[in-house]
Amino acid sequence: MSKIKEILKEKKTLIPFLPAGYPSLNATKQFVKVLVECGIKAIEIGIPFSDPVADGPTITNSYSYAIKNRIKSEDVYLLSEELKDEYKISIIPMLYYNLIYNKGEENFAKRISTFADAVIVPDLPFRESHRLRPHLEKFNISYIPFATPNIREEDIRIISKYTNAFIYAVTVFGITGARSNYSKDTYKYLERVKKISSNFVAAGFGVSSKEQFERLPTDAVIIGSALVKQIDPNNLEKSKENIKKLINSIIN
Amino acid sequence: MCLKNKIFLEVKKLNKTLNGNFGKFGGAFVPETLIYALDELENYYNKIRGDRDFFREFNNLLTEYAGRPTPLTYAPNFSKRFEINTYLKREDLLHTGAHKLNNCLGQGLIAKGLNKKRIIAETGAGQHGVATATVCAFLKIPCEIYMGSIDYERQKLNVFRMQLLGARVNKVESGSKTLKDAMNEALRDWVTNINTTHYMIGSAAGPHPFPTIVRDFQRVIGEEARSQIFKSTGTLPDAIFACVGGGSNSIGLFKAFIQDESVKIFGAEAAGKGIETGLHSATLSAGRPGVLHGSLSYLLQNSDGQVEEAHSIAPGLDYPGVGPEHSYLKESKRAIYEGITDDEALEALEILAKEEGIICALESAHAVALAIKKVKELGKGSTIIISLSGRGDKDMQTIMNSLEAKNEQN
Repeated sequence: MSKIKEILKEKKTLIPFLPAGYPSLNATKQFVKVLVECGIKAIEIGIPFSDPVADGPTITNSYSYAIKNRIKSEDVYLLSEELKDEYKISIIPMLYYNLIYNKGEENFAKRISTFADAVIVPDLPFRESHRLRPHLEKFNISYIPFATPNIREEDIRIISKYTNAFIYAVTVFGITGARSNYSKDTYKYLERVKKISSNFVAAGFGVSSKEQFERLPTDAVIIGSALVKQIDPNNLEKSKENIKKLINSIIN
Repeated sequence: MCLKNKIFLEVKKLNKTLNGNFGKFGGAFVPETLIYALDELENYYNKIRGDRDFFREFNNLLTEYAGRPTPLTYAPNFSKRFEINTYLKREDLLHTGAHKLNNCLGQGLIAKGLNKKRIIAETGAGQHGVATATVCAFLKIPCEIYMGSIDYERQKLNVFRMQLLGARVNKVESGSKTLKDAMNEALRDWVTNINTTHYMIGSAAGPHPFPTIVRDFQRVIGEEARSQIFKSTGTLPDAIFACVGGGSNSIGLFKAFIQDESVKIFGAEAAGKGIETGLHSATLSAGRPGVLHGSLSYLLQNSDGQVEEAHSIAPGLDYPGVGPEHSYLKESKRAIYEGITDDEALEALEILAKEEGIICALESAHAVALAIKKVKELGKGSTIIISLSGRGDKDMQTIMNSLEAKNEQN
């Protein structure tokens, strides 16, 4: 069983997302330390990309900032190895497909096998995933498929067979970014995915509060933009405090 | 079987299928949310592909509204000067001033058929934005256009035209503030409003089925040119030329000639200030395969896989990607793609204006410049067709500024 599955089996899990290198790799390392101290066991590490079409302005801007500071994929891989060794957490890199294609799918899988438990590729829909899945399987890394509010029941059954981690259920039509509340339809759709899926389900996009974390009927909840908004690129200590406060307000 | 024949058969086979792949290129690399809309679009397109009523309406609009067929103009003075028989395919004479309207009319009918309540589009030079706004006004569908703020400033006339036609034009401030970023924002809008909105992609790029749909609606350019040149000369041309940004006018022209082995196919990319300077948009000449905006194709990118900013004096060519079918034509060697600098394009534009009284768009001037460059290779007395994809009205300020700067330097 993958490490992330073992974590999800225990209790409802909060999986925070951090864009690597925003505002620096050292800052990311310190943010992860704060998260671990709050009790977080699995983290999504965003690898900056120049054209992140599935992301809203908060994450897009953080990626641009990191790229301007010349953060490269390899820097993030080295940081992730360090984090995994130090904190024994489940690390899930999230990155756009061109960064994978550029390295070559097999080389990529081999490279991240030193730290990654699973991988999320926002612009690799299930129908294109055959390009990457076999390479990940070879190195025991789980592919994470997406469910969307318009997903058909049979597709939920199919995709849940193709992961050894969880299904990433996108809560809304749209891009990443905190939202104040969800409609009844969102809850109904997530309940449907959870009921039909033979695998764990994590809800993502728009999460920012304890109420959402508790109410969303999934095994895990991913928090991204709301967390990134806590980062003040000019004030590391304040950023750490903000992160701690937000995470504690959700899980405690 | 000789390699060339094999390539032709492969191309023929590819064109019969709607599988989204052109050799290894193409695909649909988009957020999962969009797959539903792409499937809906593909299913509808498969249905109308053989629907006489749809094409009767489409062809009627092309004739009665857009002004097709556009002429194939013999250029006597240009021909004499360069000792090459030159015919110009006059997409600049189409309603709205560029080839873009062909595709917009087709996609407009699709959006109507799919009962979409809203249309969005991206634009660089503004020509696709104007064509989209025009069709939306005609079909009474509300429309929003995304445009990089740099393009917004340099194409103010087209911004005004879009607004006059009732479209809302959104300035995009992210990234390089040009076409690439306008497309990112349009994709983000589409992901958010997938149930109500049709994304009218203007280039033969993007996720499947857009490269096929756009090509099919633009192939009228090549089909007309092919029959017109036959009528004028009784034979096929020796070579055809078109500019390539995303590649819709060029694939539209090329399509009708791909299986004619004797016809050389040339695509002019923007070499900007020179490929060696890094300030260019010569994706096929200086890029390598990668994934951007939903398809696997040639891409300008750095060693880490980050997309690089493109540059061209012609906003319509200022794009770091290219349609996947062009990547296939390049790798199969059926078409030859070469870079033309800003200066070479400006010079060609002046030559065409003075010799023939035609001021073409800066984009089209790249195709004219490449034709001039290839005269020696093709040989005196050869016959060529150049696609004039659009007219130069929109570029007057840029042309004026560039020529003034050049004169000051001299």
